[in-house]
Amino acid sequence: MSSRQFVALCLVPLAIFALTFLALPLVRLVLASGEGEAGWGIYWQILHTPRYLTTLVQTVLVSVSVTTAALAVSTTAGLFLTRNRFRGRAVLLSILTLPLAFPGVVVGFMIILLGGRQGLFNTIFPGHVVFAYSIFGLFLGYLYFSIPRVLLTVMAAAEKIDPALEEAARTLGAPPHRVLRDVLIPALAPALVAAGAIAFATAMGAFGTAFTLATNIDVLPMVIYTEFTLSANIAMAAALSVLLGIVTWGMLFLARSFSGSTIAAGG
Amino acid sequence: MKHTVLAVLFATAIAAPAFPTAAFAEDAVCYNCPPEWADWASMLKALDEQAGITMPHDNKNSGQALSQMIAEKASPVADVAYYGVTTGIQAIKEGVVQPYKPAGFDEIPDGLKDPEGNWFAVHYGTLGMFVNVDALAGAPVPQCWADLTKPEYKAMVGYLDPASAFVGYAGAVAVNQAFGGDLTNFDPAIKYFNDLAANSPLVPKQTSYARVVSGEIPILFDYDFNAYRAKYNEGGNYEFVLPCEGTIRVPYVMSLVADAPHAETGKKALDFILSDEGQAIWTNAYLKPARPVELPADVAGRFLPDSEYERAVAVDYAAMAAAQAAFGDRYLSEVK
Repeated sequence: MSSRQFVALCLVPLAIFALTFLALPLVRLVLASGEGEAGWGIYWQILHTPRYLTTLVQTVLVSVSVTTAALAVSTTAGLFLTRNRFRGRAVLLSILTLPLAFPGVVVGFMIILLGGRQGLFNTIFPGHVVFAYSIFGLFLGYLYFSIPRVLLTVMAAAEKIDPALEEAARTLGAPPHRVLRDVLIPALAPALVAAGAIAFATAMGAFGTAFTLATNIDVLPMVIYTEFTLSANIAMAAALSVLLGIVTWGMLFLARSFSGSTIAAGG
Repeated sequence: MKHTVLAVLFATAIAAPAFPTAAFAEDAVCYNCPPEWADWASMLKALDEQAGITMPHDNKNSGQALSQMIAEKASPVADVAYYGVTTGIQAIKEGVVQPYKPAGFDEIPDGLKDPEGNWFAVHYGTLGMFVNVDALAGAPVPQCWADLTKPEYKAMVGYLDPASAFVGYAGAVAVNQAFGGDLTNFDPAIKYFNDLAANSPLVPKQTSYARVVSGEIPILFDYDFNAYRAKYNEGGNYEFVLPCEGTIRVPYVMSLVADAPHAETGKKALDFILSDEGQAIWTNAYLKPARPVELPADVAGRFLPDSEYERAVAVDYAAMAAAQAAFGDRYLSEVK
């Protein structure tokens, strides 16, 4: 057979996979959202229910703050780890990427161990230092699994920065913060946007952590869960899911359009 | 030729997981049979050993079980379902259950079963406070619902989500009745939950027995049977408190799922659960059986005295079912 036929044959499993697990479920989801009593007017209903709107805004805010914090922490750590070689560097790196292995429920459980009623902080600082069940606990949990996602991408991009640019800036008299602002951040910008996008999308859709911490925290995945188990409001749950997808996609599109077409400054 | 063969093998290997796998070893499927709730672990084991039916445990709550049955209506997976009485009543409306009267059905008191057999009580419990005394940090054991809003119990109280779990809704109805409301007026319950919100309560969505036992939630709105199980089976200091303002008793029911894939096995399982052996297992787990089966003397001695239980009343479960959805919505929008 020709090589074109061979390539086409290799694409068949991908096509099956993409159709079965991506395209068809999305179509079914959108159709399910229109099968409720209100039909397609359900989207109008959502926009007019204050509870859903506040939840959506809260979810976006949590995700944006987690992404920003993760970018700040991971960029600092990534730059340091790329430029310095010391004993235990490999171990430290593997510890930092360990959270990728944990599902959301385990991360929630760890937050409870840290900040729950019988957690570490409440034992060391007695007097109700219980933060696990507040929005701060949720933020910490999300941050924990976002950091490894950003770190590896930033490190890969940091290795490609041409040291000559930085040295040139320093010889021209730039203080460290100007070097950061004018040389390093623009060089890392595409990587930061890409990694931030992944962290943001993960935080928007994260369910396990919020479910384990399970209090009055209202993030959209929890609301979708409640709608589904509150007398099987399948249409509403589907509509909210579609909305979550659209909002996430919109935010990512915005971020992408801001980054433009800058190419990493490298050798 | 070699490339073609390799390509075909590669494509088949990728697609292989899509071929149906061997049938599972279970005989019947139950929705909402969590091992940590009402000692289902012992019941499932007895079903396996004495009736020869393998039924895996299932960690859903009442709301999730019903939702999944509705979602799977066209092609059911479950054979039997266990849930709170109001969820059972709702299941009839959704058309996901079929009538079946196991042996012993006639001995179940009238208010505790659907006349056609769409659901029937298997056991009932009384709602109250499940308290881990050691985790109270010196505070006295609360005796009344109103005590829980006091500052010494800050961040110590938990209750399951009334919009999702049946025990959550039962707790809301109990509190409502205790403060003078009834099934047409839930204002006292909403007011109580808002007062309680100032005390930083925990609102889990699923069975939290382990969290009370470990001390993470010192006081939980839960049934007497879960509290007695901890008190007599776990090392530690646990109490069940029947609140001074009053509470309700609630049956938990089972149904045969409509178009169940293993309907005959499901029926056999239900027969066993309602038989003398089955009901006796519930009594060992401190549940009051649905059929008037004699409680062993030592078990009867472990319950709170009957004088306490006089404060627990039955309610019109059909009305309770009718009000559930509206209360769930109200709770979600009004309680912060």
